[in-house]
Amino acid sequence: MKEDIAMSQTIDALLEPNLGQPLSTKVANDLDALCETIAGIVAMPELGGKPGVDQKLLLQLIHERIAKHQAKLEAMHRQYPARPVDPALREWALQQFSEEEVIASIKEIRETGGLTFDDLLAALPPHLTRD
Amino acid sequence: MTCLRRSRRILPVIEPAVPYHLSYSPRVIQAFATLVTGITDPNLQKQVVVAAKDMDYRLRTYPQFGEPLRDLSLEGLCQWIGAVPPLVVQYVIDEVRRQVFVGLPISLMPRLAEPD
Repeated sequence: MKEDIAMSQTIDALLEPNLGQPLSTKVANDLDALCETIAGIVAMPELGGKPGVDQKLLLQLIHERIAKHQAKLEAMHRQYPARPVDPALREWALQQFSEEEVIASIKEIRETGGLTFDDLLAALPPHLTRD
Repeated sequence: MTCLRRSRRILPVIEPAVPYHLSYSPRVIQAFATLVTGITDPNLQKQVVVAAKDMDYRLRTYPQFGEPLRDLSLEGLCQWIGAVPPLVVQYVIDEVRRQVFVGLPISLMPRLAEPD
């Protein structure tokens, strides 16, 4: 338990300069929970913990998989980095829609169940959505 | 404390490490299709689609990448704004249910939306 807290605090400290303390704690908790989920799959007697499974290799494959996802996503974020929202953009956005419209849009999504990004892509011309 | 005042200062809570459930309204889907098909520059069209993919990923994984825009009088929810050029998205985060709503049309950054 003490080690868990120490690990989470270490992640927290790494993130803190960019995210701010309370939010970095939240993200550190999320990362720790994901690690626990992976550990659970690796250790479960019916899965990674099954006799004969090479756990060292399994962990290596997981690490490689994470690195692959990371590289892909970093490339995507480099191409389209999010940018800070300046006051002019905030002002523009506030003028676009009233609070009533925002609340109505939430209610609409709740009532209809909402749609996914796949639905959004499906509404576009196919040549634009091919990878 | 309002969500604008607490901004990024969200109280630490242990919660399941699952992505946010992200939902779009039918109006958003329709408006985005109209936006994309109305762009005459094929390069900008492609940029918009790729930026939308990035935006979707960010909203599901870490919607706090944007900035709080205003408090709503509904369940203490807060409206946010995020810019992934050339797109701007306004959305609402429900931290309790770990949901993100995109109910308002996604736009081009204002400068890009202006006519030449």
